[in-house]
Amino acid sequence: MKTFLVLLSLTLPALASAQSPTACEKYLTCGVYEGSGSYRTPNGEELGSFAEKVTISSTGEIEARMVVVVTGKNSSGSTYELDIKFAEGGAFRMTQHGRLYATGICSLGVCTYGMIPFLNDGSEVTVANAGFMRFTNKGLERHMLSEAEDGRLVQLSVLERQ
Amino acid sequence: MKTALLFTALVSSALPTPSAQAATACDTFVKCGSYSGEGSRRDTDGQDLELFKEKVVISSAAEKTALLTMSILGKGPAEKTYELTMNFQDDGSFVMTQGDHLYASGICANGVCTYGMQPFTWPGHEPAVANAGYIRFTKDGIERSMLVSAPDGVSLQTSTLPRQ
Repeated sequence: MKTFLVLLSLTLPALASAQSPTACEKYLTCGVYEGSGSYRTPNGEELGSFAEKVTISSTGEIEARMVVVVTGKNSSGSTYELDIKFAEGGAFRMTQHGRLYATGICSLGVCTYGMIPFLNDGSEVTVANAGFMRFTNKGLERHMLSEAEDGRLVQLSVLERQ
Repeated sequence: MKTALLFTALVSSALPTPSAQAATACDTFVKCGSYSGEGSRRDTDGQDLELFKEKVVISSAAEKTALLTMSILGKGPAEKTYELTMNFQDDGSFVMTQGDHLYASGICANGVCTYGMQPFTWPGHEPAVANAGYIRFTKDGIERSMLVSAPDGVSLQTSTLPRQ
């Protein structure tokens, strides 16, 4: 009995540490990040600002969930609930309610991505969005380049880890 | 005999014809061709950092595979050439490889391909370099825009490449 207990006490920690790493341990840094951002013309002229909150959590060994809440000065805010599924090498597919939203690659503390190009009603210019999120010591920095009918914009957010 | 001829005619019309061939990646996802022009890299205040010449050749290799060769001649004397393979899924998402290495991941839809490139670093240069952008197919050619984050800051590359 004593031998069995000793063996059990030795085996249990080993089993716990042998669990598969989660998506947060392998590909991105999970947590809650909050701060502000702005969007600018390519020449640096600021056009507006917004508050942003990003929550990243692991939902499996190769799966994560990211919730982004963006609130402009005079708006009630937009929420994006995104599911991320990783493949070998850090490549990922991001879906919103089961529909393809973006694809990209996470590696070396950065996730780069291209979002699905789409057409707004009545417009003939496809909207294009691509960018990257960089995990820093303090939190998260997000850059995104957007192009629509009215021109090109660069978004930059600096979010602190809460 | 009449029945046999009618049967043959029916069977022949059901057989694959050249026009019924499977669509290529160029028919479905990208516009193949040769594109050549100039581009610039600017800082976030719009100041030119670098000018370059660029040539892009896109060809179809299979129903869901395209080859993209990009040559860039910038400040240095040597032209840099990237030979890339795009493997598509039915929904337009693609993985781009250079040799056996993952190079980028993106989506082509509505005449635009967006992409995020594999982050990379080299000894003594932290943090990792991040690149993400898009290629827009226009009636005249290609417009390519890419946001670059390197140890020396963030910059924007844009190229306009008329179809040759």
